Amino acid sequence: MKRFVLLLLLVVVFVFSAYSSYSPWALFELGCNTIFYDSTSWPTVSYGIEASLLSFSFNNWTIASPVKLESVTASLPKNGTLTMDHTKIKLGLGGGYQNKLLFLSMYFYLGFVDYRDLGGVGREYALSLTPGLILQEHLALLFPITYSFSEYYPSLNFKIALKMGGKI
Amino acid sequence: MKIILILSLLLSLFSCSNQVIPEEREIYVVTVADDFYNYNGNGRKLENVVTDQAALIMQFQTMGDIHIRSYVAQDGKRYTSSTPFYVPVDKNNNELDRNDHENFKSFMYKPKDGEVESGWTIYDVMDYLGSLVLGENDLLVFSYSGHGEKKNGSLMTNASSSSSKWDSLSPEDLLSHISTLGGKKLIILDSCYSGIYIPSSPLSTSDVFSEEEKEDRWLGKSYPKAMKDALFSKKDKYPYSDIWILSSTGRGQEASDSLDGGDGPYQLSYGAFTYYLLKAMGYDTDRNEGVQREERLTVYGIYSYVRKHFPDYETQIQTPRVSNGGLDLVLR
Repeated sequence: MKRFVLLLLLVVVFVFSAYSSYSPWALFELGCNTIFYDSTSWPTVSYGIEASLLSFSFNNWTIASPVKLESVTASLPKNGTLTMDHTKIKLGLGGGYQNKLLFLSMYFYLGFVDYRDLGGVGREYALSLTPGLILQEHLALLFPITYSFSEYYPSLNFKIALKMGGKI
Repeated sequence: MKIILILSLLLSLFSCSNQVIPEEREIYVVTVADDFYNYNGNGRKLENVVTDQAALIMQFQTMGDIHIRSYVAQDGKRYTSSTPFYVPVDKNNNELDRNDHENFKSFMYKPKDGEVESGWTIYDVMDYLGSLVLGENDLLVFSYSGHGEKKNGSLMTNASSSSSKWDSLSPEDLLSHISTLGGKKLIILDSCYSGIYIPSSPLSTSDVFSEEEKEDRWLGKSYPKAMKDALFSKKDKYPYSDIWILSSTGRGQEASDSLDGGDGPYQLSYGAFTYYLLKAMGYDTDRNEGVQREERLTVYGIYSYVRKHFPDYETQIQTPRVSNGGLDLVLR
């Protein structure tokens, strides 16, 4: 089933790309995460860069497969514990719609959480919904909302991001 | 301009920080050191375990009022104390007038006037741990310096002052016993094969340290495998979310009782792992004394320091390990 879905997505990307314009983009983001752990929650900070060389637009629609490098700082401690600094590499797939003023996109991410110092790599999934405003041609102000399903702890992220490039 | 203002506002919000450690937290330090004086040919006497114990207590005492319980077996004598007293001695066990004396060899437990041997066993230690009532915010530190059994990493203590037999405490028994206590728990093990106490973490995969590999430079070779495992492996819940463990070795590795690394004048007086553990905590290994520090101290911070400063050649022999439960524990 997983393979079938993956194959279907690849076909969609391929067909879409054949009838669309190439529109790579990159964004910088900074945000606040709410960590959920052991019936409690507390905030932490994350920042990252995301880029998609694999991005194609057709009219007002875009599909893309971005790569994101995200760094999460240690959170404010609570009850004597805290989260650790860590880095994630995320592979995304999704798309969005934009007109002259508004932007809306949704992406699914597969993330690898780098805890190399501790001897391993963790896995995480994330779903991101991003409304935004088109500021100028090739420049948008975005407000990504991301929920991450992590083996460590789930988190809800609110971010602010600047996106450059993309659909002409 | 608006964007810059928004970003600046966010940054200023994020840059503030809170302090953290629950004010009402009580710290309990339970330490076990057994030099195996009566090992009688089945192994060798450990020269530095009492010094390790003394130094750990000294450093923890800089963190404020703590509850101490020390179990020490030294030269065939077994003592239990809540107010242990250690003195610096030279190689002939002559007492020195200061810790940083040039002839300093070790710390020696000094019984108080009239103090008699308790003849403690590992079961007494477990009974004491079981008697502790820890609040949700309290912290228990359990440290062990001694031998570890090759077959399963069990902690080994002499069965009595006059016996050449020993009692064993298996990882399963220790962890299950301690996991029933409340609060947060930190276990520090400086013993052979102690890496077996590190539970396999479902949170991270391709843990090369738990597979008897002594080379940990796995960025190139093992990283793709780690990512593949992270993607496809099935994972269970981490079993000990309120226990942190620092071990001196990986699985299948022996721990060195001392290390001639040239890092300081008294390095040979401490266990190889504990020496760097103490430095990470702020202990002054050049003066052999605890030092009160203000900067934040966490379990993973200690581990990172040890891994960074542990000599490469020694890392090939013993690779210090830490449990990985997802959250870090703030000690100071």
